[in-house]
Amino acid sequence: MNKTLNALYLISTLLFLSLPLHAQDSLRIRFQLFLGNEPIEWGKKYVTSNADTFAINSCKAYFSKFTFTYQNNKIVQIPNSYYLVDFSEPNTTEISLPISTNKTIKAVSFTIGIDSATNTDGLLSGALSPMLGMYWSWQSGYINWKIEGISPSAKTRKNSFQFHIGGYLPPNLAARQFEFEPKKEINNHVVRVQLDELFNQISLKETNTIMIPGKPAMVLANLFKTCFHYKP
Amino acid sequence: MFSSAKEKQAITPVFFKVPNGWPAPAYNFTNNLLTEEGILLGQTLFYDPILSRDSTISCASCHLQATGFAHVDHNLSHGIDNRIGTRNAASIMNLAWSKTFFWDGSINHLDVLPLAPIEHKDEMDLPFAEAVKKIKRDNKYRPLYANAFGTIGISGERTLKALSQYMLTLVSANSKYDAVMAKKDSFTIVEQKGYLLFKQHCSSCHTEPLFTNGNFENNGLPIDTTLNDFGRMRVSTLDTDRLKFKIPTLRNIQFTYPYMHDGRFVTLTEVLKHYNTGIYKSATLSEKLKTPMQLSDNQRVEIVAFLKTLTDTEFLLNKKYGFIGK
Repeated sequence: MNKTLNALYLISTLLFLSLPLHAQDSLRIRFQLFLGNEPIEWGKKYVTSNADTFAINSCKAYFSKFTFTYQNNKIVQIPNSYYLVDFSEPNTTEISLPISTNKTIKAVSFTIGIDSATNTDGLLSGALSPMLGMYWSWQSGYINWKIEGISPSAKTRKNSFQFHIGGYLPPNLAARQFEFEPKKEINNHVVRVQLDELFNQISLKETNTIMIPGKPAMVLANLFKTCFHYKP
Repeated sequence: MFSSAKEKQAITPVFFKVPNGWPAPAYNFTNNLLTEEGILLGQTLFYDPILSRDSTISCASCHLQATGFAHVDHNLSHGIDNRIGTRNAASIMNLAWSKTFFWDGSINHLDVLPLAPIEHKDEMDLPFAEAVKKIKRDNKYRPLYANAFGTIGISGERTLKALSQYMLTLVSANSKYDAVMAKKDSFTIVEQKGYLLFKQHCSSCHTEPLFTNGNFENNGLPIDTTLNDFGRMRVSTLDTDRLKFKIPTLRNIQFTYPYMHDGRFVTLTEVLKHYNTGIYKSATLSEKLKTPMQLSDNQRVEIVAFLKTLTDTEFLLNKKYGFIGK
């Protein structure tokens, strides 16, 4: 009896593994970082509408707690959906989310950053490992996103500007929500982060180094959110 | 596959005993099950200077068991290259019941706590990822990690979990006070008087049985202008948290001197004098300290006598928590 069960189990496992994964089994999102009409070029000089010349050297961001709203208004959160996107590493910029039913997805939402609950859960691994340079050791908390670069307007050492934006304690909750309505019939979606919408709103002479939670980080968190656009 | 199952059996679970009458721990043990092997690894790491940049400073450098794991006789703790920090190293005991850590509560979970001293430039000054690399190069750790977690592998997550396991076992609940509460001993007349005064004047913040309620308060210390430490306000950014610091436990207080976040008081007598007549009034002063205590000299002596009943000699001298070295 036991042997039969084992054999059945084995056969069903093999069958399952051999099934081709259909496109509708997952929803894919590719994150693009744009300045103007083109994908960002690292180290290239750009000019903001405030006439600040600047170049970006790195941009990393957490996208987490992806949620699908189905046509029947059922809301499903994808378990363990925490992703660290390093825009300079193309293999990290595309994520694939499992779809459990064949019902139509009306809306997709996710957190830009890491929410308060996850921040106080203690030790986490994988994308949430505190060893990836996206965790503050001196004061607990994830860095939701980082943008670093150079601008002659920034009167700092080596003219560098650094935005390390995070904060999980009220009133300075720096995580933001983004939602889009995915176009039907396709499974490959693009979310474009249009960075000029942030840099045109700040003066790099005044705003160039924000690396702690607080009001300035909240302003940047709001601006970063406005950069997000769904591109079907 | 079979060998890993075998190794898993070798792990010896440890039951975390909550002392009678104590609240449920805040730490979630289901994510980090205590085992003898995990605790041993954590203890080995705690006493190993490998976690500092030049292998000179271990956790135990500032947290000595015999003094309640506090940094005795230093008002501000010193770390690597004789650099002096800005705070008095806190004692380590009963951490399973803590929801926040450090004088300003800047650390929100025990598992991430060691990142702070390891990476701090005045303490151990080593990026945590580098610390893990150093551990990987030390042959003694390979079997210790495998035994603790059932499979071969050294990682940051395992390192932090093991340190938590060891620190969680540092439970102090066997003082004379505890024996009296369990009706196995009795206070002297002076201690008993001190206990009644303590309950009247101190226990709303230093709440039994942990002797802290875990909150932050401004206890009326004038600011030290050489440090300008505003405490909790730095973390919360709220003006209402200005000059508030974590209320520390009073267990083993006799041996964890000097006292306060900046170690400004050396003796308990000075501490009692502060609360009696030294309160500096500012906007965020604790409500509980607005009315003067008006203690007589005798009453202050009685409170100190009671505080000494919180000494847990078994905890301070227990070899099981002590140095593990090469």
